This record gives sequence, structure tokens and C-alpha cells, in this order.
Amino acid sequence: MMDLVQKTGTDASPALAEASLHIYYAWRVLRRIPTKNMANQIDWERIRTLSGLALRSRRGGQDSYNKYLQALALSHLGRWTDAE
Amino acid sequence: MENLSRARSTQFFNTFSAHVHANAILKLLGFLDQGNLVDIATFSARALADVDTTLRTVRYDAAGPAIRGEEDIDMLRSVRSKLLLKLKPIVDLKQDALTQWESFKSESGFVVVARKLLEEAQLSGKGSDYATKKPSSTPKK
Repeated sequence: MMDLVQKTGTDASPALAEASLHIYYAWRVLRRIPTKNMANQIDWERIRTLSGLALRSRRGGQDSYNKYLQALALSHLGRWTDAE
Repeated sequence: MENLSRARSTQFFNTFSAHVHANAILKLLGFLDQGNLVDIATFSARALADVDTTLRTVRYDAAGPAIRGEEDIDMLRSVRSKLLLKLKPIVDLKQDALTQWESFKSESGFVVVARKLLEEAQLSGKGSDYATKKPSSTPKK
């Protein structure tokens, strides 16, 4: 779905980016399933990008969760100052 | 509806405003013509996104202890269940989403499909249910 939108040369809407963010986070981060022989790296850059798009919805105080995810991604990327 | 969104505080988080917003949308959906796919998807997507984000904020994680009262969570889960019950089966939602995208470039249908699929993946617990399943470019009749 994201591919279809991005093929038109535009960013996904905040709502679609947020849904994608929540799916990726629930799948790759929250499930925390150990994988012995497989690389299970988390794409923090993807989380940072998606949370940035999601935050464009400007829901103010209701956006705490997306802000948290963005700060988490930034800290994992070593951008501590931005994360603060 | 836009005014209701703007009425929220930009400074603090409030579970009740998400609940009121979702309930208002739920009632509104009852008045809309079922053929009005874009409006139904737009309102459903907005309400589901609000409730989902609020639920995620009030919990540490899916299985962890609540940081707010159980009442808040039950209240939000209840309105979320009612919203999901209003939706068509996933096959129809996917078809509607593609129609809305191809006709109006509206992404709301995709948002509803994504939220519904996330719900199903979380219920099943299977990693493969989270992976991308690319929709066909033209809806099947």
C-alpha cells in the first residue's frame, strides 16, 4: 500500500505512515521473538521516517506514542541530542 | 468533527477525548450512505487511528501492565470493537481501498485495511501475518 502511494512521487499521509509504523513496531520490536540463526535487526531509520511522517498529523498531546517512537529511533541511531 | 479534533489539548494526553471523538464518529457512520466509501473510510481510519494510538500510549506493551486504570482501557476497547464491527470483511475492504485510491487518490481505505490486518496479525501471533501482502493493482470482481 505504501509502495502504491510512493510510486506517485508523494509521501504517504500521516495516517497511513502511522498505521505502517504501528505494524512494523508491533512486528519487529514488540514481539521480541528470538531468532537463533537469522538476523533480526530492527530498521530504526524506517521507524524514524515513519514516525516523522505520522507526527505531521499534529494531534498535539495525543501524539505522545509517536513522539516516543521517534525519540526511541533517534537514540538507537545515535542521535541523542535530537532524541531529547 | 474537525473542531472536535482541534479542541484537544496540545499539552497533555487525555483518554476521554479519544473516546468522545471515536463515539461521535461511530454515530456519524450510522447516518452515512453505505455507498459513500471515501467518507466511511476516512472517518473509520481517523477513529481507529485515534483509539489505537491512545491504547498504545496507556499500555507499556501488548501484554504488560497498564499504566492507567483498566476502566480507561475497557472503554477504549469497547468503542474499538464497535468500530471494527462496522467494517466489511477484509477482502471487501481491500477492494474498496484500491477503488478509492484509483478513483480519488484517497489513502483512507489503505489505513483501514492496515489497521484491520494489524488486529488480525496480533490475534494470530504469527510473524508471517505481519509481512507485506501486496494487493493486486486492479480489484477482482
